[in-house]
Amino acid sequence: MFGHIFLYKTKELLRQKWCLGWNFLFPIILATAFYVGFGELIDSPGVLTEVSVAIVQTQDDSTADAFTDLVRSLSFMDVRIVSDDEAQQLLKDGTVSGILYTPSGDAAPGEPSLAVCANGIDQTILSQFLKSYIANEREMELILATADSPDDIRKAADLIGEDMSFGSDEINLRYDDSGAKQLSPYMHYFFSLIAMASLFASWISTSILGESMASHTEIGKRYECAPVPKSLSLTAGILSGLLTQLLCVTCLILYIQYVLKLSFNTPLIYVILLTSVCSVTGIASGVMFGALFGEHPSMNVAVPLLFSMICSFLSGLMVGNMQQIIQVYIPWLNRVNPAALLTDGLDSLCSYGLSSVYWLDMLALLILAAAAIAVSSLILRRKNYASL
Amino acid sequence: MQQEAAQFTPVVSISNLVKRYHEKVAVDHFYLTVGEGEILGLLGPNGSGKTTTLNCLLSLLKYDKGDISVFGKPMTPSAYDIKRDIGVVMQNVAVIDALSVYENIDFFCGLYIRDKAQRKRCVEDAIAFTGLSEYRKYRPKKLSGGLLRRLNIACGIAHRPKLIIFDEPTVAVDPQSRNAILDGIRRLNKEGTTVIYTSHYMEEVEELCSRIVIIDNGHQVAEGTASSLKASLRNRETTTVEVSRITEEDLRSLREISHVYDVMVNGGTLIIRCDGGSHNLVHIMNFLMERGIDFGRISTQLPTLNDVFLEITGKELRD
Repeated sequence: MFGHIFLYKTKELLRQKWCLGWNFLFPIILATAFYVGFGELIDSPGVLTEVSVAIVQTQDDSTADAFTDLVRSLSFMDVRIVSDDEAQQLLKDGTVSGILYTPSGDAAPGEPSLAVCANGIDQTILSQFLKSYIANEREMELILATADSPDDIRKAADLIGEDMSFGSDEINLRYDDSGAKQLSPYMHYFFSLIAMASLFASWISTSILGESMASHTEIGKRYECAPVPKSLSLTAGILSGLLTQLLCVTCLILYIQYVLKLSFNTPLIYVILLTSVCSVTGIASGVMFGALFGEHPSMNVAVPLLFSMICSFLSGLMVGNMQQIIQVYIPWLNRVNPAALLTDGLDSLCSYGLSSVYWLDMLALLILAAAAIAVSSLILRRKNYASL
Repeated sequence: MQQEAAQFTPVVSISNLVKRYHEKVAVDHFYLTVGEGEILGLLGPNGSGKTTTLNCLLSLLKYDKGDISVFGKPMTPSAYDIKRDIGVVMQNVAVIDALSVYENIDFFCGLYIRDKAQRKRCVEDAIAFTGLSEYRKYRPKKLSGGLLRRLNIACGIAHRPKLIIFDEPTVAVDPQSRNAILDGIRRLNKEGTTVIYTSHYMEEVEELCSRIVIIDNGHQVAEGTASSLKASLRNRETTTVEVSRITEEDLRSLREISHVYDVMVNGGTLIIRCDGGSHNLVHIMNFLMERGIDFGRISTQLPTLNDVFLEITGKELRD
């Protein structure tokens, strides 16, 4: 009986257009769009050369010195401190990719500026670095103005200091002098995308639950009239949903690695394993949503969609450093957001290999899944319809 | 006769069933017994409590009061041995769009029958029975409304249940498909299947069912065969005559004709009700000719279940 339901449910899901569209094709299309959108920025870190830059100190003060020191400290910057005329000549010759003017130059007072004469990876890195520097500087000013405790200030300073030491998360490099593997920070977007695809599993399980409940659909009435325990039909349906979801996310991971040729720098089995656990959390969440709201058909789509998109957004799908911002202001949110846990685990795995962070993130995902299943069980066991 | 059979071999027994939706009483102290081999018609207007009663019978709904037993055993949500012998054809089509006709029937049949070879035979029989042989590879979306209803029936009966519940299976169905469905139900019954058939179409119930229970506001208002229910009416024959003019004196004299108990004029139409007798139409025509009353079309109508319902509840079945 279990096998009969499992096989037919899998067949049904693999033929559903919405399932193929949203859970299989949409993430692949989005990954392709990211790849095309980021363009050459997602080059393999291994072939990247240093970025040559000329620094023109417009004013001889501590702010300018600090800025110069910061740029010089970046391992991927080849810095030359020269006069404005020399810098212009070097830029014209192509010896440097850009000129950084220290704060209080020709730009707005207090902010550094950049001059380039071409478009390319080096110029983009310099531009992103500058944007990140200015953004961090403003953020620091804001924190200093609004911080309630010295602890807040310290945390913010640590975060920004860390950010600066790597250049920026927006730059397509992530250097770690401690020996970590070099991974394009743009890969974080792909991790968030994988997280979103995993959480799309919640749609599948909400739909499966709806089909199994007499209070939700006419097909549900057929199930409940049949001599099959509800727990058995639900388990078979949910496992078929999980299998379908695993096929979808595995295809996405393989597509990123082998078609887009973006390396995860780690055996794929660990990426797939963590993603599978996140899919389990997605499936479990979907069951919970179905149990809570399934009697309202519009909620069956709206709630899992909102859940997947909000979690993915908070993990950095649209704004790369969203997870870091949340870590400063609402750190617990990153611990209960399955998308953030997955991206954190993948970040750690692909940068440092298997570590306690990876396993802790997996454990947290499993705890979330168990909690969702527990809540669903409590609701479903009490279901004895008063109306249909 | 059927009632006696029901008493001896009850397939379904419902006693004192009460189901409330908040303040509204949907089923009100309802009793029902269905005997083996019967086609029981549950007739009532929309909202009378037919579907709620069936949902309670199938343990899909919890009810406030009463006892329900099927095949002599109490019916509960986990009474799988009972459920195995029940087939349900829902009011709304309940099939899976992503599966073909064959797969749909096989899937739902598989919830009842584990043995693959037996299941295959059952599915083939159900396909042949519902006339879906040439559509077996079609997806439900490609089927017409009538064919979809047939598929819905095939999914409910493929496992060869002893009791089949049809909940308004002919709603929004064309006459040809409707006749096919009713023929199919008759054939199932001839093979020994007990049938509970709900509808608000009195003609269908009258044509198909060996016994009829009329339900209104959640309780039983009448029960019997179609002929016994109609026999309980005073009105046995209604004659309508188009007349150009008629006087009060004529009406008084008409009422004196044997078996005529009610005469009224509605516009240019004379309506005469008789409580029995024979050759009533001849007597009425003779009277009109003797009095020199010009008349046009004449029609006579035997009572329907709607008249039964009208007389008992004061309202029409389709109100």
